[in-house]
Amino acid sequence: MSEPIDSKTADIIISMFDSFCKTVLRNLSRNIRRRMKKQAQRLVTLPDVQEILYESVYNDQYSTDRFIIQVRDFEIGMYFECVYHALSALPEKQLLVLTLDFWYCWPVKDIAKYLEVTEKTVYNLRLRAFKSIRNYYEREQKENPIDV
Amino acid sequence: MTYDMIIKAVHGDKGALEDVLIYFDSYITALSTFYVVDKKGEKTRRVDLDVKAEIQTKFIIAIQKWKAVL
Repeated sequence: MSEPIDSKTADIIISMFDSFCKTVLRNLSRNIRRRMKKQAQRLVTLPDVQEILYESVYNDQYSTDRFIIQVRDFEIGMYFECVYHALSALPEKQLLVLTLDFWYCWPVKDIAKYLEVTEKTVYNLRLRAFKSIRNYYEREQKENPIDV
Repeated sequence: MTYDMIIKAVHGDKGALEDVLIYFDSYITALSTFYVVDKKGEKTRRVDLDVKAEIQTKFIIAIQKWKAVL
């Protein structure tokens, strides 16, 4: 398989291979850590906003004491005024994604089909909506620490 | 690590690839080690086995692309 070579050349090749392997491993590790960091940054923002939205989903049969938002053909109701204001400030598409996702429980595939966009765009719209809601909450919390 | 082992590993020999992985195992383990902070705020080192497996898989692919330039 291999041609006979002198020991000096073999040593050079071994050290070259060793260096190559260490560089590759270092870079692989860096890439993975970078990816995990990005994922962690995204994940930190999502659960708390999701919790807020799940809590807000209106399931009660009584029509009083609730806030209603109309988006295209869909109507969503919620208990909390702060959620109402946060959602009202969202652009229509982002609001529609959250509406269909949390209130109407549509799968992402169907939402993408309805909006005539790709599934990746739906995820991005949802993420942007979460960030806006989170920013709204943080802003409100600074201004009125007791209310929110 | 020997010259023959490298040549065999680059050509995709299973045994040689395993030997290379064993040779670099401690280095891969070190690269897959993360600091974890628990609820008490104590910092501990932990090897992420998923990361280690991912590094090993990609490393095997990379080895076979290596070419010695003398």
